Amino acid sequence: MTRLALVRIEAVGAGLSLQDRGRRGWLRFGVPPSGAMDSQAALYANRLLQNPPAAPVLELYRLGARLRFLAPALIALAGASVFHSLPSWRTHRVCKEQVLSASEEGPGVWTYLAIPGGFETPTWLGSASENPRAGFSSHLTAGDILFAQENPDPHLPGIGNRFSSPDAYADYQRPPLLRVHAGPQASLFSRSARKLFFETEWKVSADSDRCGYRLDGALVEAPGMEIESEPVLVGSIQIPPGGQPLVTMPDGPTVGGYHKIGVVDPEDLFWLAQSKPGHVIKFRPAEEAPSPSR
Amino acid sequence: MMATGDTWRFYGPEAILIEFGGGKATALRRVASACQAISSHPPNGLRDYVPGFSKLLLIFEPSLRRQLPSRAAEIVNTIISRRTPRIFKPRLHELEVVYDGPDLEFVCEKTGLNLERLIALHSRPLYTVGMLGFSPGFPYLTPLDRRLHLGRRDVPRKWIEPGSVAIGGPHTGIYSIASPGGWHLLGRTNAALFVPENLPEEMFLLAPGDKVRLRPVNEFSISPSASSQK
Repeated sequence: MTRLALVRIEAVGAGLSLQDRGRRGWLRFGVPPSGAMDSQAALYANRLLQNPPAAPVLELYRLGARLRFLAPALIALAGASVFHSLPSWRTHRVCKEQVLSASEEGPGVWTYLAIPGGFETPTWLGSASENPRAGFSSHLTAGDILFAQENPDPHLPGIGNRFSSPDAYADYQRPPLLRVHAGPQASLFSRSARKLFFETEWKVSADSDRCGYRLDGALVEAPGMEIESEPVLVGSIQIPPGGQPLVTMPDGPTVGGYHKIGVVDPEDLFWLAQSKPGHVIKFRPAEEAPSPSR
Repeated sequence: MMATGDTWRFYGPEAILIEFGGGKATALRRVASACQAISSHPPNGLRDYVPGFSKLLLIFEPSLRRQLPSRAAEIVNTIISRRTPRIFKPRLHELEVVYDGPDLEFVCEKTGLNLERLIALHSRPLYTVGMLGFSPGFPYLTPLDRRLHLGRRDVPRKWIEPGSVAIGGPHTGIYSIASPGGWHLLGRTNAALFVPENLPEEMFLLAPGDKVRLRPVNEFSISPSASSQK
């Protein structure tokens, strides 16, 4: 295996981390699953390069990151398109000394950059995904070097300009109604609270991160009765006493004591993850209508 | 067999939440034996699981999603009916606690207890780790004496030192990493609950179902590593 210095980070921008599909088997010790915020896009980036699905990819949040390539490489991009003239959902060849700057504002907020075989990273409890709060972190900073596990510039016939079929990628500007399944306390909410939740045009609050997304748009009345803290699933829509919904995301706590009105369908959660602050998201009860084709 | 009062429900299309009936102590014990059953015979396609005081969350692989509606009842029955070996003996940890927390005065005032009585009531029970969460390795210990049940602080603290021993609602717990928090701080232990630098099997001091005794001390004996026994 050749370990090759491939990328020098010149700026981390709004957020930069290495992610895979997250860790499993440690939730009962209070360790969140972590993993790519948009697992579908991360998977596509790996798939474009015929990588294993769990190969570590670079996750960028919005703009500002600047990456200098120290060797020629084949890369795959998925998720939000932020690099000038290098659109997502396809592979690109990058030259030595080429600098990729995340500078173009488009739909979506999370971008994934994969290389053949994945980045070489430390792992914690079986996953390369960082969780700085848990002390699992490589603390990527300007000046750091990212290494490739394999030859980053393989001569695979036909892979140099591979792209996803148009139906494979998501148009983050046009999310469908996101399916919501009843949460453990759904029946404790009043009819009017449930109605309000499903009728509101929600927007992701700026006060959101990899742990949780807060939603602006209305205040949902939480049931009066308190509940004992209990296990919480990623995608759960929690209603704290103040009424502002808080959706648990991959780095969020594994247990909690807020009422959960619902849980976003795991197949739809990436739409919420990729929603920009200010863009409208609406939910629908998953049980009521057949899944829309997309 | 499902015992009286046991219920389960889907928690989205890829997860099941079981709630055990039979009173708090019974439910806690049955969650522990269900976890034993899972670790000895994990159901096919189980991705991860999280025990709570009276609940058990089962998370399945996305590939099981289509089959789960027809298989769930059988999976649940298998887990909660499997007999666990009688020799199952939980680990016991004795943790030293220096009771010098900033909220002692407040808690005494709210509960009407004097300091000596407060410490006695808090350190008397043989606690069970009902669940771990909030932060990696943070134990929710039960049963906390009823006289010590208090709501959270009105204004959560922004930064709490790891090792802080605290009470919140019906539980006592120990902050495992530096974090914000809203519980009342009674004291501190020198036991390291979570050491991310360690090997996985030595990363967490406590596991769900473990027993914990809190021993009041004026100052810590030297070695914190001697605090854990089999």
